[in-house]
Amino acid sequence: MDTFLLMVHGILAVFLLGALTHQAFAVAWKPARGDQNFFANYRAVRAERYVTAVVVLYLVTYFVGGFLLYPEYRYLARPLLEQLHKNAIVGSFEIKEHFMTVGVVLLPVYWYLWKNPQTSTMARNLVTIVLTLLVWYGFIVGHLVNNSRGFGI
Amino acid sequence: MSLTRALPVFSAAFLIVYAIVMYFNFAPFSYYPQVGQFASGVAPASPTLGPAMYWYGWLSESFVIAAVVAFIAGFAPENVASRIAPIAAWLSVLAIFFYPWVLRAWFIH
Repeated sequence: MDTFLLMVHGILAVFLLGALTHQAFAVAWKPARGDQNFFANYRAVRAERYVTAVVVLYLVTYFVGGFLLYPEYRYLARPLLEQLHKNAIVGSFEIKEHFMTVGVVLLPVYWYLWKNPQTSTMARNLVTIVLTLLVWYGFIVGHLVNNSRGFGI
Repeated sequence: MSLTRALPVFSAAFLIVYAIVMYFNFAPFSYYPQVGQFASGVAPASPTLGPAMYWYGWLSESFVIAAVVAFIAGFAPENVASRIAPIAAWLSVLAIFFYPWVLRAWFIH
């Protein structure tokens, strides 16, 4: 069951990462008019269309990770990693716990900024980029922790 | 009362309160994941109950305080929400530096 949940968590994270990365590129690096290459098309999405999907995916991914998987990590995996003196791995995951919480807490303001286009564009872009960076961090660290024995770190 | 106006205030208040309760470990309850039991306050790890988690305590406490602040802010004029939104955005940037700094001991020992 835990392996299944871990896979669901990972797949949801991939969807979330895809949606947020598209949106972040769209707001941070708008394509020039007439630019038709692959990267320009990647950035030329309607960023506002991703908002609801991002909020729903983030909440579900956070719930699966934080409430269904994390308790078991806390008493099974973390003590083992501590015994092996893999402090950087444990520390990275501790930071992930807080970064993901910062992300879930940003969702209300993220939703507000995107649903009210007259509000600050700078704040909207900043929240989107921060959310994207947080999710990338969580995704990479999650994989590092899950595979730390295999990576030999 | 406007829920939309309360949203940026909820984010900003939660970010501040969560940083404080996490830093000072003001957990109203602890959770023992190995046995699925709760204990009041900051409970220590135990050989029979296993390690204690404070994270759910921090989350619950921050949620309640931020919800109260946001509820009050819901009665404020619209321009309050639009002014708070950029503050919440910059608080999240500070958070990116704050948590690694608080947890730096994991990397330097």
